[in-house]
Amino acid sequence: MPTKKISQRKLGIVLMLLALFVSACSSKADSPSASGESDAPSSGSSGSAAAPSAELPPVKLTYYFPQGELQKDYASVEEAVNQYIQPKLNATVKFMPVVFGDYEQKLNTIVSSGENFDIGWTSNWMFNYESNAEKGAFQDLGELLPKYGADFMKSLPESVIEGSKTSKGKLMAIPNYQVAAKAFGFVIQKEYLEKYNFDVNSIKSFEDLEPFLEVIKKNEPDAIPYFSLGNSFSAIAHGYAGIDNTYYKKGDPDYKLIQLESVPEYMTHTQMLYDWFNKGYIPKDVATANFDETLKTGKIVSYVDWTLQPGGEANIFSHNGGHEVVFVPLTQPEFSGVQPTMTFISRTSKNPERAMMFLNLMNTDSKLFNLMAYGIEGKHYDKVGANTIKLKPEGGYAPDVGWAMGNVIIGYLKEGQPEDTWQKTIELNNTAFVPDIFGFSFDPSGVKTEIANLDAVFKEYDDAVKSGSVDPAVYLPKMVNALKKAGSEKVLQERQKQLDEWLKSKGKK
Amino acid sequence: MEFDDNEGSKPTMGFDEVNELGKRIRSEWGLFKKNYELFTLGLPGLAFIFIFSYLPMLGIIMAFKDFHYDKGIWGSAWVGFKNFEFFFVSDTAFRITRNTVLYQAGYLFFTTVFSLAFAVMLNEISRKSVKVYQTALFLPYFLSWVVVYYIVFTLLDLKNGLLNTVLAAFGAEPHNWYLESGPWPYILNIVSLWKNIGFSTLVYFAAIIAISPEYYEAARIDGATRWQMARKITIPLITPIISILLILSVGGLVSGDFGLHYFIPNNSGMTFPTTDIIDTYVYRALTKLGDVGMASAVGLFQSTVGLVLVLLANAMAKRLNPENSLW
Amino acid sequence: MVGDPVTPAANQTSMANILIHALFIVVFLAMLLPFLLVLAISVTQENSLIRHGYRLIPAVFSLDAYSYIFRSPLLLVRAYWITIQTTILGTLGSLILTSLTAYVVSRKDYRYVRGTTFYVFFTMLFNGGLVPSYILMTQYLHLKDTIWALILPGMLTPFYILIMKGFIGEIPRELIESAKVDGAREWRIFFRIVLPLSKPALATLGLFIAFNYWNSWFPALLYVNNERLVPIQLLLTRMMNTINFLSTNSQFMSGISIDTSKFPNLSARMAMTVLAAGPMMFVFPFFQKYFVKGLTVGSLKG
Repeated sequence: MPTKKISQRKLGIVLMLLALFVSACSSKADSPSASGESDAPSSGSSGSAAAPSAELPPVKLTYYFPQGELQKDYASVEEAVNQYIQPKLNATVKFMPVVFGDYEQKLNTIVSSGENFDIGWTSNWMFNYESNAEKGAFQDLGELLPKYGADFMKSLPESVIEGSKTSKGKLMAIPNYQVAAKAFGFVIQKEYLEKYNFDVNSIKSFEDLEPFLEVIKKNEPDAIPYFSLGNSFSAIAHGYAGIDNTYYKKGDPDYKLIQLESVPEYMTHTQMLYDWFNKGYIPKDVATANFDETLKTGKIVSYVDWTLQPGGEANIFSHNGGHEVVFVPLTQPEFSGVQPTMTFISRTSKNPERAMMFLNLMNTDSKLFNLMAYGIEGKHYDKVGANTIKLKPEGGYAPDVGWAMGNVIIGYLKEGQPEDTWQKTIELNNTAFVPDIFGFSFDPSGVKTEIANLDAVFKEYDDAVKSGSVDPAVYLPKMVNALKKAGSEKVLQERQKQLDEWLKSKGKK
Repeated sequence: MEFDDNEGSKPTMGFDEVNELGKRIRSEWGLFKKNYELFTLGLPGLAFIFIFSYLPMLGIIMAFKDFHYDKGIWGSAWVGFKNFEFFFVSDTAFRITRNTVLYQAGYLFFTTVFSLAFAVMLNEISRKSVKVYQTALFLPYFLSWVVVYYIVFTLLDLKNGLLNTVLAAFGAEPHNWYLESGPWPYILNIVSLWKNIGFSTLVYFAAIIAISPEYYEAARIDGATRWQMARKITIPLITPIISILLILSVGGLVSGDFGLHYFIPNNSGMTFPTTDIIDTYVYRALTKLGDVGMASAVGLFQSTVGLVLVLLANAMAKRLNPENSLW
Repeated sequence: MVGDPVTPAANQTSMANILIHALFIVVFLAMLLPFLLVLAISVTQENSLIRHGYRLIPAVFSLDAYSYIFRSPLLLVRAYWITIQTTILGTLGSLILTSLTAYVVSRKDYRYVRGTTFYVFFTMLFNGGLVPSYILMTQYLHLKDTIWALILPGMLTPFYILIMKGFIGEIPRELIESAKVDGAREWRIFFRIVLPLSKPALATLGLFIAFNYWNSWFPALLYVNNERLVPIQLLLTRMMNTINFLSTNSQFMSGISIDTSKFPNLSARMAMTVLAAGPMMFVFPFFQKYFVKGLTVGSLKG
């Protein structure tokens, strides 16, 4: 091989590497400064300062929030938000959007490392409120909220603030207020109900649904009569009372807690499901099939949902391939609390007061909330009614996660939602049945060992047993036995102990 | 590349500062000077490892702490071995440990045997076809376990799955594979082999082509068959590499492949008796609790067992042939 | 390509060769067909996927998935560029560090060889977990939102050092000894003798390291908030994680009226897989030219 050629090539490689290094260094340079620092914005604080900001030094708040998909145009929304809040609070916000799938991992790492940031999203089902509060990730808002968030506090019923507290009775995050009452029941496709002339009012229990499923199975070979999704045993519908995992016989003055899986009704219920499974009402691959994708096909005629809300039928429409559905509640709407979506201020925040002021504004000022939730009018959405908007999917900002940011009731309605949606929501929240022990929440820190092993046992049996795919006569005793071995009794005792203390403190026992 | 050192000079010469510290240190320093050049060669790597691997190892103490964010790693309370408890008291501890060890041993065995065979065979055919086959062997490497799940699902699906279609053609009942535990040892071993074979094959192949051709020429003159050459020349000459790979893999006997065991059986409970391994179990047990201390406790347990196994394996290798041991 | 006069197989085509080829063609298909399936799913219309299952030949052909991804071409181009940068810089740095360290631990006459080997090996089993590494990277090294945060973690894998040690150990010791007798310094021996003789090994490891960098997304997930520094695999992982999240939390999600139709569907995820893996297919031949047989002592002098 000619040596000259080689050296030219070598030179080329060296040049390419140089280019790489230069660009690597430059991409370091134009990245923003380490996040979480409360560096002062250089301009804008002087002129139009409203009353409060005059005395406040300028700060930058870092705000982590979850997104279904990252948006193209955060920059213009961020700028608009900052222009709006700077005169009011002399603060700017730095958006830290994270996709849902990464949210827990990323936030866990950040809080574990003690990194500085100000605001974030938490819930009782992802990036867990209770356990993160227990481990000291959040600021205590007990004093901050009344002091800097009085407007927001006043706009909510007291039960909502009460329901936002942890098992230790501390307020560590504020609710993103929205519908907080849910009923358990069936979702059934209207088309089939009409075709076979079935009266929904006749359905008061699972047994009442069976004749309908039989008809569907016989006449609609392509349809899935019933899809069992997760747990379908409602303790409330079977004469028990309580809230998540804390159930007792209704009216029991001792509030003696039960293990759901061990009650006779539970066995009867799963046996019925297994019967449906064998009769072909439930598809054979139900335990492993992806519900969302199956729903999209429009083949599912009926299933249960724990979160039925008035007017919610329209939401299902967009998930199931455009088939109209009817809700058939089996229980009355029950106040379910506000912990499914909350906003916290980080323990590591250097400006918790200002963060609270910002949250106060976002939860009471429609303009700010709408800006955060929907972006800029004309660019990211169009107004189609007095308070109704239509999102522009190509606008670059349509995350549509207002529910994770603040009080949705002060925000716009999306096209298709009835004008009175928010009034109805408020009404429902205020009139819903509040369970006797609402406000109690279980502190698992004393029985972590058992909880860990129980979680694993549940995962092993849940899908198969609760979907009716296996014979409960065989598997339910197995499951109960495995739960016992993993320490279910100890956890139940601990739960009972905590509940008794709670009841005493509330004067209920 | 000029180095200003004193190699070749007598070890005792030129040390003013070494005095009463003794002969021992003096001779040690002398020996260091002899090895000084090699030491500088190794220094960048060792420093890098120190910064990026050893410094963060301070985090191991989290396994013995009740980690609270507000108190930090140092400030959190010591809890002794409490974090290890959940794993050892669990009823499934035996099952998942057995599964982990058996699967890892299975993967190790099949991957080694097949990749050695493939590498030896690749050496027998023309370079052009080697290129094509090798590229193909690496295709699965680019598919994440989640994507592999969809591929496997195409085979195992209850309604449209290839396997059930074939079964139906023979008049057999379709299987709901994701609700059975029996077939999974076969499925997982096949999938693991399929995904990982490219790596080991390439390592062995690279080792084989580095063998001097003179050995083969001499053997051919002696009239050796290809099978004999493979057995008497190829395999013995790459034994050190095989040995290193084996010893290192032994350390992973108690640490399973999370992605493979979590995604491929679709995290389906009924398959757990044969698919659940330590890593997936810990994930399931701790996702809700999110307890860093308990997670690191299991990790520490796995590492320690791995270390013991590697030390044993290395000692064994050393006894057989010191040339093949890791250190 | 070098001719094959020394390959045992060169001058005899036999039954054995045909069998070997037959076997490898089967293996070839076993590796290729699943990949083609992924490709097929990416060009199949979503509804037909749900109705008919996954097929090698799309029931209804559609490029929707690709047009969905190419809605924001700039994002994609930038992500490729970041991935290419990290892969090239990372692989080169890693190869140099790995082979240097491996050479040292391969020298049995090195006084500290056992200790050094163990020092390297120990990090293969023990690590301090995510949190301390994160603290180190962000609070001490200040590498958050820099490309180095994508390059430095994973630059030195103990496993590769030890494999490389195995390869270098194959080099006849007499070569090094005689060079030393000739008065060559260690650095010179390394660069003039050891490295050239390790070409197949360097190519092998280089390939693995390059693949790892190409496939890596976790450091980006942790250390990068700046969208300009997001590599291609993180784009893919985000899609996958979000879907996985949705199916595990669907019971919660139904209460919060989130519009799942907005999320990337299966074809889009497969299209992204194809786009993320595709370019690496062309890298293979580049490395393969170093898989040349017959690198002997003699060839060094040429």
